[in-house]
Amino acid sequence: MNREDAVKEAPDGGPTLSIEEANNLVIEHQGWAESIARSVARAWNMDWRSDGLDGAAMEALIFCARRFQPARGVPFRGYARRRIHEASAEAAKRSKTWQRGLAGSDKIEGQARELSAELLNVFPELRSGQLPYPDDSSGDSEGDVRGAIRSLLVGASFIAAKQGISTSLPDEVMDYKRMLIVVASLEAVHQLVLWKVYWEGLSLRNVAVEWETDELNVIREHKAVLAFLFKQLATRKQLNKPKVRPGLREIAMKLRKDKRSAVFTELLKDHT
Amino acid sequence: MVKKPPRDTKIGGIQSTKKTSEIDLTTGIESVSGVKATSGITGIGKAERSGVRRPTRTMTLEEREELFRMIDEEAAKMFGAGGIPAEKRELVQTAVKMAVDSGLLDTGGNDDTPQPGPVEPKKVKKKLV
Repeated sequence: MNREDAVKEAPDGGPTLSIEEANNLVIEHQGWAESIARSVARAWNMDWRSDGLDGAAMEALIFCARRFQPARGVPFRGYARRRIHEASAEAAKRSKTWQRGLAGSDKIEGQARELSAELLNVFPELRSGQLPYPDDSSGDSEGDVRGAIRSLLVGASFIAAKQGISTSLPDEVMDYKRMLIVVASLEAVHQLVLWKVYWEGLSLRNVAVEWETDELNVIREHKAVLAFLFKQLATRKQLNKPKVRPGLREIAMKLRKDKRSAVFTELLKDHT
Repeated sequence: MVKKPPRDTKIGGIQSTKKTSEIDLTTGIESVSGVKATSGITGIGKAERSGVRRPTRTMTLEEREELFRMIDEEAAKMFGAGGIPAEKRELVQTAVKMAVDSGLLDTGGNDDTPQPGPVEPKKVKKKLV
């Protein structure tokens, strides 16, 4: 084996594949990577070749193959799928089809693409074909699937509200007023989770790091809040707002003292 | 008034070892008291988070229509109580479908495999006021 084919050390110390092994991995998974690009194109009513998703998917596949570390025990497809999806999506967003969609006659489609792209950032598991199930669920029951869909609908509504409000049109604020009123009634920590994720664009992991808490605490709180919002929006009855789970109670207590953390309450005041 | 402690006396000397006296009496061993009833369980301590999440199921292209149907049904429940206008509802619904659809792979992986149609937003008729 020559020096070029020698096992290289990745920055974190684990061994990666040789160039030959990486190339074989690319050949083996090329069809699979292309199917990811086609799925993204299909969802967004685009052409996977002419809109450049094919090239982006292949580049991501090659990148992942070169950096893949078998010793970590993660299967290659599990490691690469999300990255290939991200690359395909980014290529789609740079394409002329995407730009035309925002300005063209079918604005709803263009806006829906933008909205769904942001939704993929909030729920990255969608890129791997998984729904945001409750933490203790495997997704085998219809109830789990419906629960996950509800989270997505509420999440998408938030993103739409934020995009609408950013246009500063009073009508846009009024369209989402009921939802914002419900959110403004939540505990400060819940409001802040929603603000950071949907308004500031942070991942749930980023929020957890900022609050120096376990990521699962934030994920669970986020899901519990979305589940409540769905139920509240689906009925005219006033439901009891969700209590803060033990994982974030300490942070909740600190935030209660800081009135500025009731961010949606302030937002509503500014726009109504 | 605080009583003063007695003054320490000096060690006078070491006397010779005295003869040990006999043990006069041992008191009887008291009876073993009955076993007391246990008190109820007051609570269960918080279980340590294992840090291991269960593997979740990956959706497939074959489930696409079923998923879209559920999205429509759940959206009808959520928006049924009123709130956002029909156009915005359609936007949210379509966006969720697009996001879910983008992750559904066709298991064939063949270029010639016919793809299902794209997600198209429904045309919303605006009411003339």
